[in-house]
Amino acid sequence: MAKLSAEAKVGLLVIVGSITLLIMTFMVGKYEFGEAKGYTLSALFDSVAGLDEKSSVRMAGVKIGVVERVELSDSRARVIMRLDPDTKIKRGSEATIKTMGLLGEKFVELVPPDRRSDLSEGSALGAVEKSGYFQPDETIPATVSPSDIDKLVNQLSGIAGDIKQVTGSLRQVLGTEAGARSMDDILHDLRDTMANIKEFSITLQGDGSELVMRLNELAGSLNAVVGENRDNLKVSMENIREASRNAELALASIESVARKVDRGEGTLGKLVSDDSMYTSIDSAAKGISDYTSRIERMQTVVGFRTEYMFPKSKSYFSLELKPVKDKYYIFEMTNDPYGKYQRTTITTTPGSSVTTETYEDRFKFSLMFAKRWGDAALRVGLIESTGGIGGDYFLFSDKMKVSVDAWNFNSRELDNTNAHVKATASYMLGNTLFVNGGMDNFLNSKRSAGFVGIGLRFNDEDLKYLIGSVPIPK
Amino acid sequence: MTRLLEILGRKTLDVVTEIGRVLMFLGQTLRATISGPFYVRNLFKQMEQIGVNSIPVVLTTALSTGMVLALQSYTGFKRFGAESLIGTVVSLSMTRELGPVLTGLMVAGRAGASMAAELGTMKVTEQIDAMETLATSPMKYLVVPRFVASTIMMFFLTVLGMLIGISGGYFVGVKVLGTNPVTYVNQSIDNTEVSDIWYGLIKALVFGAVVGLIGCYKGFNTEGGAEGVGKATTGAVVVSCMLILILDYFLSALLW
Repeated sequence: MAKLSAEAKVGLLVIVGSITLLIMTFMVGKYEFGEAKGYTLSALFDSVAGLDEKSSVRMAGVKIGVVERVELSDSRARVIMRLDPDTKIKRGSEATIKTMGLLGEKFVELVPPDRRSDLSEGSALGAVEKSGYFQPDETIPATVSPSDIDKLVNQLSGIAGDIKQVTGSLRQVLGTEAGARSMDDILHDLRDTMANIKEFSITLQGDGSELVMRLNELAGSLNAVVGENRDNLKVSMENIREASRNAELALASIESVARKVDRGEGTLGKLVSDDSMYTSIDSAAKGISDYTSRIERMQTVVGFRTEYMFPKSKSYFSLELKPVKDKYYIFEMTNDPYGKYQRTTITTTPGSSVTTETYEDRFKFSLMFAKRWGDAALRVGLIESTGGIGGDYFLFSDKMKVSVDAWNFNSRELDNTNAHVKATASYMLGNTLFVNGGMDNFLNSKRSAGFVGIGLRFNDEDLKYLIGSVPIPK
Repeated sequence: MTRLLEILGRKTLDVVTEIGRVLMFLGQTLRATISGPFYVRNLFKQMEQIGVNSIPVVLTTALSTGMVLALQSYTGFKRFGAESLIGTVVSLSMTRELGPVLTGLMVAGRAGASMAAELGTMKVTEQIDAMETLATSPMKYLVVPRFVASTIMMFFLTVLGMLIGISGGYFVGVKVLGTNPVTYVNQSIDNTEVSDIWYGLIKALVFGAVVGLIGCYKGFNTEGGAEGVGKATTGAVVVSCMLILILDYFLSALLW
């Protein structure tokens, strides 16, 4: 194996470290790629103590989503949950906050209507159970969980108090002299009663045979009555059978009509079952809202910054178009102090020459396509009028950005034999103002320099509609 | 009595002067860092010295720490049936605290010492003065590459240390002690935030800067031959380790 140079070893360490870092932050970050999937439902609770963002939402113990946000709404807590797109929640379901284990984390449990313990089997359930499922952004009714630990402890201590009271009064009754005497009386009475019962059973034993004989007689006369009316009974039975057969036929024809309607036969059937009209209206509405929401969603970020490179400085004007959260286009203009160069070679004596280069300030432009995954973004395109590539890493909910850009890969300038690589860290001080700093062109020792800069960045709403009014062919 | 006061006063003044000198040295270093020329080859050489060659030491320390952490927290948590929290303890302490601090201490011991010894020897043999007469700034040629290299390399070494420490904890927790692997991983991931990792790495950057700065400072201020070099080396290790531990508290409080 060839011996690795110092540069190669360091490069390897940096690459392995960066990949490890990316994997760790991606694993821990629970990122959703692209736009957040699924739909949201909200619920109002009196108290959500212990419930945080990213807490799980479960149904029957199976995780079906996460808590996206918890906010205060009229001194109650509104919990916004993001659910998996293919989980449907039946109307009549309720949300409760439950605890996993004794010290475990809190989570939101959605209880379907057929398992709600507070509804009795009959009419109440029928009234609650409307057909269909919850639509996105609706509010689910919330109940206090019966298995709340605090409540359980409260109930238990209440029960213990009751028991104590009962035993206390029992002690009062039995513990005193009078209590003991009355207990004695009760036992006495009980003994007398038992004796009476015994006497009664003995009497029954003696006169029992007579009772049985009377019963036998009654059964015999009943038999005779039935025998006399046998024919009448038969006719009535037949009538009943006929009636039920007719009812059956009527039901069958009703069913066949209903089935036809269901299948969409006949005018009524078409109206009821054919959903093509509904779908066409729906898709048209969707198409319109798709276009408007695309413009609505699009962000246009305007930026301006100046970077001081001791003693030179570079100014940038940039425009970012973000049609969706994770994809954007960057257009940037900058002045480059080393923009245009001119090489003059003076031959001093035959065979030897002196080459000098002069530079002129010049405008250059960048045009990049950027794609973002979680906290990392990759940019490709033109950087300062040559092909380039760049990467960004966002920290502290996008307040800070660390970027590396590389361009000008085949430069012919004497001082600039390697690619121009620039590392920048920038930090937003407020909503618009930011500062940055870094190392410019550090692969070319004669040109490398640190820089600090300051700039503005803001979301321009009007620009967006200006661009939006230009028809975009789909 | 007055002698005692004098001694106390002199010691205090010494400490304050030393702090001032270190801060001035930091200022000079930063100024030299942002203005060219930049010695790229030297930087890479130092990165190899400080970073690549420290990998075995750092990884061994991180691995054993992660394993011990899992083992110790197991005995504690088992008493109240919370074994599932081992993963959380290991990953949180590796990312927030032990990853950067242990890496910092190991690099201070390994690279900080060698920095001070190397520069100290150059100082007592007057190589640094010679460099100055050749119109090469020793700050830019010697200090800046070491300072920058130790800052950047500490970052990447800490990333690897975190990963290896957490893996060691997983190995002990799951394979040796037999806790549920899925619970272990879920608990680790659910309770660790991206910000925990970044707070640890900000610490690592600061510790890297401390090791590079103190190593170079002690080397540059070496006096008195071979004995002085020895003293400078010891001083560099002791001071940078203490600074790492002290700054660790303040950074933890600040970044909470």
